[in-house]
Amino acid sequence: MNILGISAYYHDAAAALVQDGKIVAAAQEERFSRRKHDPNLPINAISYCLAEGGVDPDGIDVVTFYDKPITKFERILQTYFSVAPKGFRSFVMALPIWMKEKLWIPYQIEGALEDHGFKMPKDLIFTEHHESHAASAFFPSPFESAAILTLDGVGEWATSTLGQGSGNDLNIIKQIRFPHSLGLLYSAFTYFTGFRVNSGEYKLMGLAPYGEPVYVDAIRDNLIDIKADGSFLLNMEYFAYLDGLTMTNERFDALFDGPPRKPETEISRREMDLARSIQVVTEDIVMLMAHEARKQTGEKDLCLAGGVALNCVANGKILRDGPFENVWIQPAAGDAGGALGSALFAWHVVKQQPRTADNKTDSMRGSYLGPTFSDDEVEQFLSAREYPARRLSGEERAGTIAQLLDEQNVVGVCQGRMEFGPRALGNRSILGDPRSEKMQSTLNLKIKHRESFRPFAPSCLVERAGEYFELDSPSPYMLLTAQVREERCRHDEVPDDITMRDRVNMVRSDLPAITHVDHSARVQTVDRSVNPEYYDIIKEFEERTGYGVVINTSFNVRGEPIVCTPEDAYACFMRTDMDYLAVGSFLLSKKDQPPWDEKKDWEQSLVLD
Amino acid sequence: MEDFQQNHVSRTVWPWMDADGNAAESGSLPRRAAVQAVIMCAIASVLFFLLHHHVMPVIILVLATIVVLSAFFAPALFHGIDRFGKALGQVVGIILTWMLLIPFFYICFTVGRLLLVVLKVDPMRRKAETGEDTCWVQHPERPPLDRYGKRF
Ligand SMILES: [Fe+2]
Repeated sequence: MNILGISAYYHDAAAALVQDGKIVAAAQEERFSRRKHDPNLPINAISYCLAEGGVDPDGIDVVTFYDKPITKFERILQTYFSVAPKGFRSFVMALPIWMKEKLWIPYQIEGALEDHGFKMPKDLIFTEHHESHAASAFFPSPFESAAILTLDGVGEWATSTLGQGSGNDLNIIKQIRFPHSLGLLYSAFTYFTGFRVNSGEYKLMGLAPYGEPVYVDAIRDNLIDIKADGSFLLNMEYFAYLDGLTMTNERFDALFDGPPRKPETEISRREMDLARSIQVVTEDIVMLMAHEARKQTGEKDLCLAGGVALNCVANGKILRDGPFENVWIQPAAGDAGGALGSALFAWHVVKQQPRTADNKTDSMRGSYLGPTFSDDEVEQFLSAREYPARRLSGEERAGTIAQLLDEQNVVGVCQGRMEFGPRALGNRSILGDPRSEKMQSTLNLKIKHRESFRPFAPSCLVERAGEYFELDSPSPYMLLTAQVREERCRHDEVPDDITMRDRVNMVRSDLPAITHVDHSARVQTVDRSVNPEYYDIIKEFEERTGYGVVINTSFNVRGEPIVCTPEDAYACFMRTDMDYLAVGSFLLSKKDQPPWDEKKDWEQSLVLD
Repeated sequence: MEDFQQNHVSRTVWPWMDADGNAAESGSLPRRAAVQAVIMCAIASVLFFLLHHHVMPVIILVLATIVVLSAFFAPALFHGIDRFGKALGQVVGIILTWMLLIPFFYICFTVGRLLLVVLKVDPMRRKAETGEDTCWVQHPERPPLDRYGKRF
């Protein structure tokens, strides 16, 4: 049975294909359309999934959509009833899109499938938004049964849910309803500190270690009433997202010493302290919810999904200090993962098909669920475009890349199947030497074109993780932070008058490029059985240098989606100061390439996050 | 190179070998121009025969002729006109939207709001009440499975 899952029309549209219960393909639309967080009906991602699964024109058995659009529309109308006569500007922006697209989703999907030669099946299933998140968290997890927490901005009405999964069944027990939302609270601070809502949240998280939690009391006393079981109510007098086009209002400004920071202006001590404070409050709430989930379900394992589950600092805390033995987080925890969740929900719950779990391995296949390109094809492409490249044999490839990293080169890697979810996990990644004191600023400014305060993530051989980090379980999806081991850390005094850039470039451990100012790191552990090509590069690097760790940052520049095809990879390679590009078995040196003649101002077309 | 064929998946997501993409696009220009010209002629006819205007229909017919000719002989001009037409359509759409939505919003939603105020109902629970021990709300029982076919 072919089940095609779709999420769309909010942000990060995606498609997923589940064949007889097996996850065959999944991808975000942005990777193909090259528009970051593309919310449109993901026709390119759908086409890819159907092609990857070899689905015939009349071979789709079920189409699933990741939320209930009419219920969502009802919530939006109720919001306007609650705030009128305010809210007109938001109404006038929202309503035409609903009338044109969102109310006609079955017809939109049917039209798109027919345009691409596929027959729309009779079976069209709409799962609840948080059911989709919960299914994406539980069904691919290794656990036979588990507690489930889903936390995001908002779905239909729910903003957080607590549930339980067992075998092929899944039940949501209770929920917190809009407008009281942990995701929207975090987004309000994202907005207020000058980052882009729905994409800048991870920057706010990266900024937190620079600040002090001086606003925690102000947040707790004024903005939110937190109960002992992790539930909460927001004081909506401080927020503008019900009736305006912004997240916060003047009362919020008054509480936090002035108006929001303008994007791209200098980050002040206030923003750092706000970032730290909201991070502390978020972690407290998530921890209380985790305890409540344990109490309610009695389960020893926890599954997490929803945008807030991308907060790897909070995730790390739940794993270390929380009440669960194991925690599994859906790598595509945001709305993209809803496409997969709705398809799995249809298979296991609606079609009542059994599920097997061994309590060891998940069924996400490393989240390598996107397209791959053969060496033959790469060779044809490179020779057609006359791009000089050297073909490396299987034996020499990993060693050559490791040598280049050891020689302080920055290497872009495009190999194997593209990752599903927001993280690059070694197949669409830019690699560097984590021992280098300069690598962090080099990568930030010359290649990523972004603010320099955020740390890079390390990819580490799974069996060596404990030698570098305070981590005793694998972290294959880069969704947990852990402290760098104390014996590797340096604790130099931070001068009072130091600039942010100088502070980020201070040496804090023997792995300076991946150690954040609080000595934490966002770790990916790499297992040879899941990704042998990537593992071998790190292993060779270890053999040369004694360190089984490399820097892994996503293969893109700021504002651009992660690359998908060798052509995308080549363009990104040429637009930046990257030294080498490894595409499949081919190695390209920047020095050998013909001049890059950009036809249009590509930076103008990017929307900075 | 001649022998090489992209596989189905690769061709779907990365059709770099399909050099005929642009040709197909330029081949479709006359068809698009013809459709646009027919619509413009219809509008001109209505203005001339039914509303008895004389100047506007002539302007529209001249424009229709330019559209058709440019599609064949000056694609850049055709694309320029096309972009202008779309921008104009968008502006008209925005104006119409505002004209229709302003009365709808203020009449419908303001009356609704007044009703909610009178009935003392707040579906948003905006006040952060402190008296309750929990703000978790029971999730409804799972509906019958055929309910998953519905959008609500
Ligand atoms: Fe969501």
